[in-house]
Amino acid sequence: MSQPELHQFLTGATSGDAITEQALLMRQWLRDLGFASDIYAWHIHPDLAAEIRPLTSYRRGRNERWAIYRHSIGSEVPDYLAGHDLRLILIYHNITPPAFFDGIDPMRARLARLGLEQLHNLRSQTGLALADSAFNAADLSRAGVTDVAVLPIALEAARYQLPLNAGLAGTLKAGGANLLFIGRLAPNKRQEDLVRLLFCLRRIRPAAHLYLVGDRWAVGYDRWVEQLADELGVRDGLTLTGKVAQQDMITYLKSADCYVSMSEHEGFGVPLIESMYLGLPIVAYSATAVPDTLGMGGILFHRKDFEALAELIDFLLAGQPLRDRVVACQKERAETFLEPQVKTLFVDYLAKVGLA
Amino acid sequence: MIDESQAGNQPEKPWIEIHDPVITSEALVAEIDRRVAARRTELGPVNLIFPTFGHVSTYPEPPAGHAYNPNLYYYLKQANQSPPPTVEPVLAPSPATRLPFLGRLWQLIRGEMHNLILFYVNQMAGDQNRLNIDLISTLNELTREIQAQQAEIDRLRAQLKPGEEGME
Repeated sequence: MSQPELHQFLTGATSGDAITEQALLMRQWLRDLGFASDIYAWHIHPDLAAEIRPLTSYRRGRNERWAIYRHSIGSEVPDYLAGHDLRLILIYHNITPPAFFDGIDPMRARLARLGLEQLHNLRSQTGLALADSAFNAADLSRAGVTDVAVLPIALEAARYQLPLNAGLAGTLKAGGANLLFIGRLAPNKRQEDLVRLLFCLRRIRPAAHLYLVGDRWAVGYDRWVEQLADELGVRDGLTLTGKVAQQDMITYLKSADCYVSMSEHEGFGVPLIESMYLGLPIVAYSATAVPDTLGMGGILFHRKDFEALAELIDFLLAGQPLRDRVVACQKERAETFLEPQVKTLFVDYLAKVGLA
Repeated sequence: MIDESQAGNQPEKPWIEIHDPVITSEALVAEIDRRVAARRTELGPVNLIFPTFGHVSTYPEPPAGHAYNPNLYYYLKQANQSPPPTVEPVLAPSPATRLPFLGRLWQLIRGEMHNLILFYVNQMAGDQNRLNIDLISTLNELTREIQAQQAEIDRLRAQLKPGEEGME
């Protein structure tokens, strides 16, 4: 009997990107289960040429009935899969609403709209729908996809065992209160609000510093964030690192004092679980999937009162017992996202459609 | 189902939410309020008037019951209603891509070229669009300023009128 096949399909594959990392991990799970499993993508970063195969090189196996498709933006991939008569395990990572890009990045706005249209078209082909958060599951249900289950993003503990970048850690430890946010520079992430918060926090802690780790992604938004910091006189307290290597990211997470999120749209929020796992207290705006991901962990706020939030952060950083309790609660929450638990859940879902 | 009349009577949830065995959300909000008040006494209030990224000022309607320059409002409305440039990412199919062997290579080259052009076109369209929005928003705001100033002039004129009549 030939080896069963179950392949994954993505629009784009980039190293360090949460969707790509999850696909690589799931490929390993599938191979452990005895499947022949590869990842096919439309756009592939040259760094991943050895790991990911071009979409056009895919040939359907004789007994192949199912495929896994990860949907996060409009692309040619759903139409390509529709032409192959495969039942789909649809993994939905959310689509950032096009309104965030209207007038700023026309192509991204167009692709986001296309992605939402394709979500409706994918219904008939979908045999199992998985969303990485309850928020995303609700999105799928609104699009008419039935029987949606939640499969959270899995946290691979081994990826966080790297030693710190000593030079960077030294710089961070020498500074004042270090605020951290990880995510591409994009209007929905609202990094501009973090600059406003920095302005208020510097009245209390003049050496406070904001580190924005992430790709300078959206057209012009990064420049706008820097200009705002200039206008507010806090440019020397702002560092835009761009995309960083895993070792540096761990160093930021382990050396910062507080992770702060002003994001108004998150489908899941991987840096939240990374912060919880690595013991960095979180203060986050309660929007979209953020409360689901944090559970009982972290401190949520429902109003962007920058002056009061600066006081909250100062209070949190000054009070070691409170900080310790917040971190302990977060660590407990992070346990639910560790790889073994998520893998077991995935295998259970596969069994429901007769694939395991 | 929630009875809206009852829901309206429920106490508002604290705007900070913490799940902690020692401090409640309510107590944390009270502590932060106390600190904000103390800080304002010490350092003065924070004057937070910031611009917002992506803010688009809306079209100001012509003032009712007043004479106005129709050309100003006509062209301003046209500018406000002009659609933003779109960047269509769809690559039109070509029969040449169905040729055996060469067709796939041709499709690959076309796809890469298409993506490269889209990358630059999208950047330029985004920048131009941003500038258009900024200029139109500025014109809308300037027109609003003119309306406010005209209203102020009218008010002051009305105040002066009884005095002028008395002098006559």
